[in-house]
Amino acid sequence: MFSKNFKVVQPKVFEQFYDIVDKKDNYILIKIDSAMICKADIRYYNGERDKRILGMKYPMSLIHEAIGTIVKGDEEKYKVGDRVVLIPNFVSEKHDKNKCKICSDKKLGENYCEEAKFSSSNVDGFSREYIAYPSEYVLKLPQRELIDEYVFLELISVCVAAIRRYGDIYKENVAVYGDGILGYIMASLLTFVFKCNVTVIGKHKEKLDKVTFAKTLFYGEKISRFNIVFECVGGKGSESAINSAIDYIEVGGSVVLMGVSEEYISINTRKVLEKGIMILGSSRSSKDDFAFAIECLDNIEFRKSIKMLIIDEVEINDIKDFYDAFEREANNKNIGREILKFNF
Amino acid sequence: MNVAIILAGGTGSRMGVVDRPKQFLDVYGKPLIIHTLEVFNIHRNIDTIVISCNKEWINELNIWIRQYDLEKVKYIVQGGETRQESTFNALKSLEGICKSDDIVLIHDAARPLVSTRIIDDNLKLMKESIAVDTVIPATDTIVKSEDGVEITDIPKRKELYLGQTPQSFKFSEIVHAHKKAIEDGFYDSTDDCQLLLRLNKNVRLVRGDKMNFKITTFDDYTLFKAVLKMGKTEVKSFV
Repeated sequence: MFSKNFKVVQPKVFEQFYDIVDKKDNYILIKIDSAMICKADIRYYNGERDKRILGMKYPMSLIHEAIGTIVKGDEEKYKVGDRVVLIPNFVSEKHDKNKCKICSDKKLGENYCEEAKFSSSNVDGFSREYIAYPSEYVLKLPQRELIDEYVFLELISVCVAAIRRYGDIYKENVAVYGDGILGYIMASLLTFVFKCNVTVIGKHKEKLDKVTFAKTLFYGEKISRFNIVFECVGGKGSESAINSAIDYIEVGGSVVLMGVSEEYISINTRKVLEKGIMILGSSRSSKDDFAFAIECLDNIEFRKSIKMLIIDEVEINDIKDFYDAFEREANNKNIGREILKFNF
Repeated sequence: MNVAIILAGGTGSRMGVVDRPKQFLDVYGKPLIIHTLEVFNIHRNIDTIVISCNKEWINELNIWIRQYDLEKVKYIVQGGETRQESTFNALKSLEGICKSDDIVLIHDAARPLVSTRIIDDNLKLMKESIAVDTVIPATDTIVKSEDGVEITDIPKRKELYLGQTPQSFKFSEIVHAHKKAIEDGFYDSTDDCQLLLRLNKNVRLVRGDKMNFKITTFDDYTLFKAVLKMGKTEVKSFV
């Protein structure tokens, strides 16, 4: 069957395509219901990557945060009408995960495998009507009414992955650098699910004001000592955030880097050595992280805090609505996101 | 219950293809009609599909229905000499099965790019209407000529729309409209909404889509294949 699809073909230009979508063995057919635009999508939309790389990627369907409904399932696990979240990173079924050192390492997982594909980065994303997707890379959502908070599962799973990679964090003294959406979700997860004592450090009052569940500090204010820091800043700002974290962290503490920076940054390695600091990088997540993220949304307080991130629900009826949504997100200075309801 | 009636009774005489009607032409390994049927078959709010099919192709169609696992197709009826008759044959097959308030969506087999959104919008508006037509605004100026030689009129463009399908109706209303048309000797309707308008019934408009075009001529077919070819472009690197 045919599936309408919007692809970015050059900076600031989308075109409408029709793909032929057929269910293959071990795949299921999904109607995409709701989705969200990520800052990585905005970078492709604005053309904010190396020209040579962009030349290899365009045309590409964007969006990797989405939930949908199964329209053609498989006999065993999924039936028509099941609501699912799509896991954007996967490895091909030809790749033997059991034999692969990276894929079979529980701490790392397929996300770090060289064979891994990530939707809307090195394969087409979810900005389409229907998609045929490997059944191994979807997870069934609780079958109650469709709840918009589930669209945030990818971001939540990224936070879950970072915590998992760090290790036992229950009731620890934690700082989160960054007052953007990732910092907010990380702080909320640490507060409500992991019962940590959390301080969020940021630069924007209006964003910090949204963090009502944890202590907040302006960047530059006197900061007390922490055992663990999650850096959720990214971009150019990550340099000062990481160096501040190195300054204030306890001896033997850990800094988990989660923000993406396109540029090289300088960090104070002398202090890292002097304090014996552990630095760990964690960005994407695996299927188990998504499964745990779904469980986390059963925590009422956590779900309420995620709901606060929904700026609006917007119906996407055609390519014009899609453009408008990207323009709004590109200029969005708020901490929340719009939920896009696909109806095209 | 929501029932889709797919009209596949045409002979495709305007296509210039001699061995098969347009709705059975192969498009990337599948007959065109199958692509259309799949859209309705997987739509969560369509319960049953009836196909009104050109007599010579019914056996072939039955095989494809099984092959492509189109489980919502419940009836295949023989198409008629005209579009009106083909639709009526499908409606007759539903008598005793559909209730008067059930909704039927009548769609051309040769419009494979119908979207979920258009079907949804039809169903949504049918909750408060007895008939709905899918249309797109006319963008070219429409010129009327009664003899094909001179212009008779140039109607205001902003009042003109181009009709597409699906067209949706309350079952009892469309059956009544068809029976009344036959009773009145009105046999050559090219459009089901026309039959309700004859009876002064209200028909509401749903926004269609330019891409929901009907493949009628070979040019349409070429355009359609070109549209699909573009979709085959994939991300080239794993950078």
